[in-house]
Amino acid sequence: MSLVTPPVDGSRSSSAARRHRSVRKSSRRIFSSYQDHQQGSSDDEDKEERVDSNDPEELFQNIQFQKEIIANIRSRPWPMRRKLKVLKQAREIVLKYEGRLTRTRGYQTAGADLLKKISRLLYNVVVLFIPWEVRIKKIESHFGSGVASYFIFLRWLFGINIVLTIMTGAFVVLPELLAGAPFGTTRSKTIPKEHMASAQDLDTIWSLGGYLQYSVLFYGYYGRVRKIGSAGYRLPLAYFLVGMAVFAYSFIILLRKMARNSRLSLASASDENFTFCWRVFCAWDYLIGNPEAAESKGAAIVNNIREAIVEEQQKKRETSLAVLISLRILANILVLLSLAGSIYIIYFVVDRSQKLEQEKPELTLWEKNEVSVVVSLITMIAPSAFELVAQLEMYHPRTSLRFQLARVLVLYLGNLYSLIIALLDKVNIMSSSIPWVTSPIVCLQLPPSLSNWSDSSSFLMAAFEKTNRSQQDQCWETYVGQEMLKLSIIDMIFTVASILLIDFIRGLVVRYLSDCCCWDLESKFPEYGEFKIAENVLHLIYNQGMIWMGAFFSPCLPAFNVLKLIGLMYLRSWAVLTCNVPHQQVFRASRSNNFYLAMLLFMLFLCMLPTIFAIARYKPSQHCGPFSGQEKIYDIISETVASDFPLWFSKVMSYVSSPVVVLPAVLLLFMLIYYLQAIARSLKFTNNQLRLQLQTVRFSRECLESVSRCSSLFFHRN
Amino acid sequence: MGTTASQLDKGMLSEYQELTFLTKQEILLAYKRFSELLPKEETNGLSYRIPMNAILELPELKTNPFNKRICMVFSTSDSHDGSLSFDDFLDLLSAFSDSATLEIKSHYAFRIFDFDDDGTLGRQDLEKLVNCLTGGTVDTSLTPEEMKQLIDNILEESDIDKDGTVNLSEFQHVISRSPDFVSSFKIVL
Repeated sequence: MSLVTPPVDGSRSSSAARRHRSVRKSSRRIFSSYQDHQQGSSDDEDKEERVDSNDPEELFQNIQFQKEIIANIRSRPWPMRRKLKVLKQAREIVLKYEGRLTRTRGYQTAGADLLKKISRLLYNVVVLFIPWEVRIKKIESHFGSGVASYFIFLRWLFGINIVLTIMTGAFVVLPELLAGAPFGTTRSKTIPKEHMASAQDLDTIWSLGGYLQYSVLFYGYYGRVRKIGSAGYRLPLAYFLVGMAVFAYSFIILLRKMARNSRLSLASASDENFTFCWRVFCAWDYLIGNPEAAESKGAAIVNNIREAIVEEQQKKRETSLAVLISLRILANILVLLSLAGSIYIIYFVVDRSQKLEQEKPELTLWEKNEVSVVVSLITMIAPSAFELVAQLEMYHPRTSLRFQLARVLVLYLGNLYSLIIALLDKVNIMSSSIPWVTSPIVCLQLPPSLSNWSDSSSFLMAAFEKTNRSQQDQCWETYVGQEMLKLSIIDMIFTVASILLIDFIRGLVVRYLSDCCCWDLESKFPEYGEFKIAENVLHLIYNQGMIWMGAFFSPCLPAFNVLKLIGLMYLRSWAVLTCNVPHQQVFRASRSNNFYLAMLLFMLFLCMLPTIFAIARYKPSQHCGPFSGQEKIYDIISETVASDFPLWFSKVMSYVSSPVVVLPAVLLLFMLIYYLQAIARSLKFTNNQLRLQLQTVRFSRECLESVSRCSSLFFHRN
Repeated sequence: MGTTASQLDKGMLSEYQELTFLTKQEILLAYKRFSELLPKEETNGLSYRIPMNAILELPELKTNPFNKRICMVFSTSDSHDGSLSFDDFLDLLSAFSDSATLEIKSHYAFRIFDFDDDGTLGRQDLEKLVNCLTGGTVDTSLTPEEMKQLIDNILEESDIDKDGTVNLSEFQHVISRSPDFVSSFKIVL
């Protein structure tokens, strides 16, 4: 649509002026008093819009303008009657003049109309597929938007995991199932003889060995054949690309959501303080539909306002300063000790499991699952321990919530990292063990004049087989995948157990035993539980971090997570409606909506690092997986580029990835960041200037008014 | 199920979709809930005005401290009695829906809080607003000193041109910086 047409006649500029006038008038309409007596005047103004000229380009512009009015009409705060009238008028104009359009413009408008119809239809259909609307609405009406935000976050994570499942399923799992070598054909796909007997035992299945280990669940099953099936599907390349795409997609979708949120609330980095205004204007939660929740919300608002007034007046604390500081130092020392302790315990347990595996051929159920159980126990118990310790500190509840969140986040990250470091240590040992392939060949060179030749050769053959088998078992990628999946399963079990035991049993006890107990269980200890929003959201973030860490080594992990999130949604929504009461006080963790998303981004970044490290540093297992035989996992890309693309392409790629190009690009990015920051600073400064200007204008207007009043009085008297 | 209630015709449905932020399902659900409030003998739901006390029986509005103001703001009846026609009801749901823009929500929030309908929020408006929020009983409402302190603080924070009242642009400026306003200013049927 070109706007650069020479002024054919004077009517073009005058119609533009008319358009400008009407837009200004309509914006003024919004700000003035809202009675509908202006209805009459609007009719006359709209009649002016009818253009009389026959210039096709101008007609098209006008029609586009009318269509813009139609598109924006729902954003006008007008009553329905007025909106209908404006809509009818705009549509009349469009209909009347559309017939006069040239052919190309006609097709253009017809195409745009069709697109709009299709997009509206699609939107109506897509809305049908959003799950759990009724459930979340019920929670909103009982508990308000704070608790419901946890469930909305869970639903969003569910959406992400579904896309990840589709990605891994369609491009990696299905091709291998359909076109790859079937189970039992190659060495990496058969269960070794010594494990065959116990392959169907319950505890083998529980520790993901046996048939589960040699299945599409884990890295080790996938073949290294470069092209499989009749169409020549490149499975190893697809495996690598999908692994990277999982992270890329997660980054993109997370950053997009954060950008959208920060556009809605404009002042995430601003230092403007509107506490009192927000506590009054934004206090009420209109989603509440339940009288009990409304009452407790009302009480919370009163407390909130009173507390803000008190803070303003800065009353002194009752306890002495010295005692307070020493208690806080003590609390921090306890917390640091427990964090260090948990990291050490996890490292110790992984080390122990490695030693046990080397010493004993058969491990007990506990010994096989020790690592996951210990990690899950720590993640369940430690946050409550931190909360108890925080009572020593006597901070304001909002500050103590922030401290609590920070400590729990450090705990989760510490756990995940110490687990992955311990695993990677073991991986290092496994992948650098000297291959014994050469030794049987040496043995076979023995002179055949040995007396017990047949015995020795069969002995040697057995030894040869055994070393090869034990090498085949040493598939470190499968091992990492197994540990991650085990951790996820056991974490789910512990979550379910903690919900049932802590919330449900507590609710039962308080409800039914309060009659026979000497003090009122419902208002004093133990009371009904409150839904801990912040900690539960952090637990979701931790869960997602686990999935990201293990997704490369176990392609079915996102699918498992989808099932886990579904179960978690149903269980938690049932638990919150049955066993929890609405909050007495709700404190936001931070002012911006992006707080939890920022933590998720941080977690994504940190959980991507171990995978990247393992890809870049360790040699892939010799006998299993799609990258076996290569020096490094990422060699598949250079191999594909060298063999299947034209020569000039690989030359170009080598230039692009050399330091000559990469370093200037990084430098350019740094300069861009600095420039954008400078712009943001100058905009903030301009903002302040404009505000001062408003005050000055008002002040000078008042001065002028008082001066004119004085002077009129003076002249009047004279 | 109300089989006697007249159905919404397709033309009106697509116009309502154009003019509000609601999806087709939401409009149909709103029509169903609206017809449930109609008296038995009334067959044409689109032109009838439901009186305010019947609207206030809806569970979504019953516990809201601003329910009467909401009805008064969205009502286009000539007698200013707060009765809502179906068009007004849709306007209400559209302003309170999930996809409504911040400008629409802040505009209507301003009108709801403007108890005397004079176009600005003066001290009286703010006092009535706080009393609505805190509830009517003696032990939950604020003392006169606390009220004065609170209103002084509100005006200090939001009144940019220092005229003693909060006008629409100042109100919208404050609201646009709040992270929870959009998510809490919602009513869903």
